[in-house]
Amino acid sequence: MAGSDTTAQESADRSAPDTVKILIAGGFGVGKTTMVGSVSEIAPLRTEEPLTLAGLDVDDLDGVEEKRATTVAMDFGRISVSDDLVLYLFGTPGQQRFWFMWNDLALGALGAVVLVDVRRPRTSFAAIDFFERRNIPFVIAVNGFYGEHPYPAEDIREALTLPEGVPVLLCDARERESSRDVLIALIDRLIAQAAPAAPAG
Amino acid sequence: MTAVDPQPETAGRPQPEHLRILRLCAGPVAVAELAARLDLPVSVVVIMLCDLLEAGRITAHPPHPVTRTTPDLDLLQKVREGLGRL
Ligand SMILES: Nc1nc2c(ncn2[C@@H]2O[C@H](COP(=O)(O)OP(=O)(O)O)[C@@H](O)[C@H]2O)c(=O)[nH]1
Ligand SMILES: [Mg+2]
Repeated sequence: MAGSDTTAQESADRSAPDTVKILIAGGFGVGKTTMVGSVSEIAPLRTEEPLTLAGLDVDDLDGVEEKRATTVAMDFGRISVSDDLVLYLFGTPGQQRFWFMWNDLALGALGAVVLVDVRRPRTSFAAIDFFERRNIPFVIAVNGFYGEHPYPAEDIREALTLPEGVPVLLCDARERESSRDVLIALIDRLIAQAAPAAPAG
Repeated sequence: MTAVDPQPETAGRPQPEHLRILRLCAGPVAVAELAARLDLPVSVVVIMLCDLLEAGRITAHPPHPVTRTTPDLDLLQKVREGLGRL
């Protein structure tokens, strides 16, 4: 390999920071937008994406007008992890008919946070199922509305019949530190999975 | 996505949206972020980016590949440290 190639490659590496992404999933109203907003360094950006018919479960919808009007909102957040590393957060609705978007988003994602509303855990079943089926690492973040956590993590693990090893965290999606700790828990899990032979610590 | 500097002189006259994209592309930026900042659907932004790519006004970087089967431990550790500093 020529030396000039190496130099060009190095300068390309410098100008474009590495980017990694984490998905924030869960049912409607569980606090996805809130979490992306609390931990992102930029105000959470929202983008409306018109849905194409190809992506829809056609039986789901009644009229053509309604299909045309359907858009999906995506939350987008960014954390500059270091000078040369940026973490993107993507939050998207958890309904099954939006899974085609998740398929794209999940490509190259480090993993996912599945938010669970402590009062309505079932609304996040579909999201859990999605990541489980695709072998995408995820952690469960139980959003205790009103800052309360009436159930211990173990109860929620049982109620959701989670596979062993999936961390369950109690969080407050409104709190930056709490949301950050959820992301750290996901990364810790990924690190543990990436280095199963290495002793912890 | 990154804007090419200097801009090629041969390129045709850009649309205002194209100019906005070029401004936002001064540093590397993700398509989804562009879409959100422009308040345009991702699909529209992708079409405009393709025009700009064809005109040689921007370059596309593939996202850092992170395969699920072999996660890059160094990269994970960097993310971990960065989050710890927040
Ligand atoms: N009291 C309380 N409200 C919350 C909490 N998290 C989110 N909310 C509110 O619940 C509503 C739905 O949250 P949102 O983040 O939009 O949910 P999304 O549909 O998953 O994006 C919003 O009005 C939030 O302000 C929480 O921890 N406590
Ligand atoms: Mg939302």
